[in-house]
Amino acid sequence: MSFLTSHPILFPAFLTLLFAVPIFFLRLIWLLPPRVLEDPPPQQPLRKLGTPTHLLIVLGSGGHTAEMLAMLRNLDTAHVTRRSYIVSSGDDFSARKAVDFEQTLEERAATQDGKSSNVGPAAYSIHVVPRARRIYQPLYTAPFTSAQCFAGCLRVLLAGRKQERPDLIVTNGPATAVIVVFAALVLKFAGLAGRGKMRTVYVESFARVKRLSLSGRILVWVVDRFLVQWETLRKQLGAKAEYRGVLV
Amino acid sequence: MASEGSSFPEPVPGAPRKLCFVTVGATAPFNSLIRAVLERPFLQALSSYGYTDLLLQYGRGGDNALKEAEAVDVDQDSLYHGEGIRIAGFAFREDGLSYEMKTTSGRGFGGFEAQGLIISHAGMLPLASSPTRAMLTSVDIGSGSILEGLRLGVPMIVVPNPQLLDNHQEDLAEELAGQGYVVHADVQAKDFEDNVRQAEEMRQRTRSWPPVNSGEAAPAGISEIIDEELGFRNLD
Repeated sequence: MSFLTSHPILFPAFLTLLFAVPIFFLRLIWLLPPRVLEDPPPQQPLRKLGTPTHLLIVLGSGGHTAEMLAMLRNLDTAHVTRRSYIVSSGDDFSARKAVDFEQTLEERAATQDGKSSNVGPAAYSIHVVPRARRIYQPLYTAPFTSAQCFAGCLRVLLAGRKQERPDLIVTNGPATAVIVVFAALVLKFAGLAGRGKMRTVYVESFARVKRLSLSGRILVWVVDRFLVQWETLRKQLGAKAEYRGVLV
Repeated sequence: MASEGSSFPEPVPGAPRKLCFVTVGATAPFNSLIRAVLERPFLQALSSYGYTDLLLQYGRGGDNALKEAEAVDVDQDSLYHGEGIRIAGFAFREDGLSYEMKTTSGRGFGGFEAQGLIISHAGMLPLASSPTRAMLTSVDIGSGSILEGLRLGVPMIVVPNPQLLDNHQEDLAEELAGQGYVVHADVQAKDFEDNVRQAEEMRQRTRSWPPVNSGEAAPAGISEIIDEELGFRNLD
């Protein structure tokens, strides 16, 4: 204890740490999903049809984007009134696919005698964030570009008024997904996300039969819902994952 | 023309055109597969099962494998053929392979009236380590050729690329083969003639995709999960 009294700042600093560290972890434990997921998953508060909802969709490079849009093909725009897409800089393929996808939603709405509006350019937006790691980029600079990507994701998550922030974030494998989910976690931690907002869903790729991808291995501890597309993989992960059949 | 002592059936004259489409993907060259499907016994096997055409998406450097193949000749119109099979190829397609996949369906696309065969690499996703811009905007990543083939219900031979050494590709091929959806082939085993025979048998009992045990006629996607998370549910 004589060390703590050797300087007037040390004892208050020690006390602060003594309280701050447990509070930090308690907050984190409160936010993170349970190690064993409930079956069936906990029900979210009922929402009335017609209330605005905002879905954030993280697109990755080619295959991830294609799988994501395939999974979203039955999307009901009466339920999901607003969509935001995150794409990495330079990934024109994904941006183009997102526009195509929105056009099919629009065409579908038109055939349903105008019952569902919530389509067209006003109902969605595409956000470009810096790529987490560029092709052939040296590994030691990856933390810097990842930080830039993180800042870009925060900007997207915080855009607009608090009640307009994403209610739900859906992702599959790309590196950006990990960063978006952590950005959402930081905002929830700081109480900036908005009540009940920025819940997270991760879907492991159809190509993953027995082993998780790197993104999956990281995010299985963090997301609210973790889905795999093979029974074999679910058995291995136990109660951490859900299996609802093939989704793509 | 079938070789002497061949166990393969004789070709039927005047039969409809039938296509075998081979795709190696965009992420890495897979010339060992291209060479394997240009070998004489394989072409003979195709011919004996009534195939008329072989189309290759051969990727980078795959055109050399086609030019150098011993069993392949070029006619005066500089068209390739071998063992009675017309052979054509291209490196990549900017806007995906959907059309090429459909030509194997036997529904008349491209003039092919008989259901054909797809031989596909096992990669569904570009590898995070090395895709270039050109690759990201091309070929298989349009939707994953395996998935597209499964949806079409066309017999498929899945060949993992041993150079990629990414075990999850092997897992996927194995699992799909175990469930009777595809034939899992090994490019080093060099028994593609037998793989074609297995694929032809598979045609008789093609299982519909997605698996029936998933409880859905067609994959519902994640709209149900989105509804749960947003708090929309039926209260009756």
